[in-house]
Amino acid sequence: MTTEDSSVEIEDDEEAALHFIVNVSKGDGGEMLEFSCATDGETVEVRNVRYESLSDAEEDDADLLAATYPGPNYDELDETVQEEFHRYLEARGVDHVLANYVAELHVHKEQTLYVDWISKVQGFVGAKE
Amino acid sequence: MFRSALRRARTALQPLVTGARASAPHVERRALSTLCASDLAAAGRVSPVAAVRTALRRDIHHSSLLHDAGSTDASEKGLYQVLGEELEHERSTYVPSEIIAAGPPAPFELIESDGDCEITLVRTYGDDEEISITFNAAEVRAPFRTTHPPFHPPRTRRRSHHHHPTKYPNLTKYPVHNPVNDDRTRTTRTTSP
Repeated sequence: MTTEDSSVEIEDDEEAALHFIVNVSKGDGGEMLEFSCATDGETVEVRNVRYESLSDAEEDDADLLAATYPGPNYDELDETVQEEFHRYLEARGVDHVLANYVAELHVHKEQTLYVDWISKVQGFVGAKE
Repeated sequence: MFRSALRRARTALQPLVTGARASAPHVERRALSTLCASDLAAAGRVSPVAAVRTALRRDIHHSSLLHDAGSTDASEKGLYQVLGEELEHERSTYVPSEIIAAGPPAPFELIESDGDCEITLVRTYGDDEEISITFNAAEVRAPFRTTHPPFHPPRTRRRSHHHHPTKYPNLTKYPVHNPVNDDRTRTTRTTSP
């Protein structure tokens, strides 16, 4: 491998990850799977899966959160389990199309917020002057 | 192709972008507009990321908008006027992508509100499943690596529709909303996928 090839490989690894949470709930929210995911706009990567149930709850939400098992280290799960989690999400529409939309929406929303920010700051500065 | 490369290049150059006090989307567009023939040739020979980086670096170093705020030009104009020019530029040049214009992939619905960084996509699946996807538009992207360290996300609070009010009387102290039934704006895709 040439120096140039090596450089290209490093650059191509530097994808921009956007994190998002996928909640799958059943029975009026009585049970829930929470997937912590990341995407580069083309693929969906699952990084953590947590199960929650109202029956696990104690007195209040804070206690519940403190006591709930966060799920295993996802990387240490058997590969077939990881693949099936991936398919589970794909069946529910969490796929490359959604990943692309989420990435585009992130840019769009950020742009909208930025323009709104400029407008508000300009108004604030103008009011002071 | 270049949008993806721009995103990657933007992440790599985030410190420069932040230091220059310009929005990341703005920098992306500026970089795209400065892509020249040699960059495109380089993209075919090397990678789009390298080509966009070249353009992005050139743009950051030569853009008048990205110059240090202490430059003579900026100080003469004043903050109010500079912001006004930036606002006008952003409003006149930004065009949402076709993907955004088409709306969320069916049957997802978009829930958002002006000024709120949190975005939620919701849908139902089967007889009794509710799917919600949530992310924050203000999140700064980190490098995306397939070989990542163990990830344990911060614990999130349950959403209100997951709670039983009589069972959890203290829930009202948490400002949560129901992503499925709240009154924020919903956008449903109107065109076929």
